[in-house]
Amino acid sequence: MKKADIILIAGCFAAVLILAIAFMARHDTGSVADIYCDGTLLYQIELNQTDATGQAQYYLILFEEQEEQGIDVHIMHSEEYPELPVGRSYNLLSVGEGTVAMEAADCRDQICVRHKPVSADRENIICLPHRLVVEIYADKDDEMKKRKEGRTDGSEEKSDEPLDGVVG
Amino acid sequence: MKRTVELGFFLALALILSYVEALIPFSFGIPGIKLGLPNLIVVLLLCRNHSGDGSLGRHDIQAALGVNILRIVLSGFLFSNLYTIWYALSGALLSFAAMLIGRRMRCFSVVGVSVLGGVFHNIGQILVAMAVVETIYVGYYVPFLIAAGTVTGAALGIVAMELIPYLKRHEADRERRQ
Repeated sequence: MKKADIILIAGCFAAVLILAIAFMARHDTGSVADIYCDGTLLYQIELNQTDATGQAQYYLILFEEQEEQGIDVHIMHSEEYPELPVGRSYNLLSVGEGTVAMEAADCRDQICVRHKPVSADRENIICLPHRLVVEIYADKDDEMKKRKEGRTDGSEEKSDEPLDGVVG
Repeated sequence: MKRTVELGFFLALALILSYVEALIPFSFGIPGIKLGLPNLIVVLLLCRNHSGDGSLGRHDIQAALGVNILRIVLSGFLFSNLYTIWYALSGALLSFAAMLIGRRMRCFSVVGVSVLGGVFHNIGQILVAMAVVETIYVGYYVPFLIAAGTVTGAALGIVAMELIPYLKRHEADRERRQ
């Protein structure tokens, strides 16, 4: 071990600390959860609904591969734990008390299911095999979000080309 | 011929370590973080001739890069699939570049080189994840990734540091016998 090694390791931990503090400093609670697939906004879930009875709500996201047309995504809302489909790709989200959790998915790595529930601004759960992103925003008209939506508009223009329907 | 046998041996060792890593359920619930056991072999290949002058020959770089790429492609076909190969390859190439630069700078020992490799491997993986899901905001993960890369990198670096004297002794023995 040389002196430079110690400096490098200390520097890494200092960077971690600074970044962690910076992120913690702007820890806002979220108000809306956006569901994206392949970078396109599919659905928005309001997190602090006024009629909330403390009961968790479930959103089942179903993927269907279409011939020549890419992927068809359906989102089904239910009050209680739905029956999981057999033979179709899915992700099951639960929403309760301002937090969103991935309850179940049939993706191969299950990383999204193991992810901790998210509730803060710009926290997200990503299911890479299904190309699904669930992202929390504090504010519906977030600046960063607008930039992203601007980008998805651009990609929608060229979506005449068939997407390669690879769903995990 | 001697070199071929030796590199084959290192490649086999890297593949065994990939398998061991696939067996250990090592997850923080954050994508992109791995223990990186096979990287131990790459670190060893890069740093085993870490002599007084600290020179690094072209052959050493070729050997380390070759073993690195081959072990990813082979372990990808053996234990996972084509997608995983791309993710792993991007992480590994960025980490290799960082380790090479760190090694060339001569101020780091094996541990420093290994830490650089660990940190940049994780960063490379998250960059690919960013490109695939097109989320601008994955910055949230970066502190975790750097911390995990530093810890795993330092641990593997210490293992490599302990192993290198044995490799050197073996080399010296062999030269004496010839």
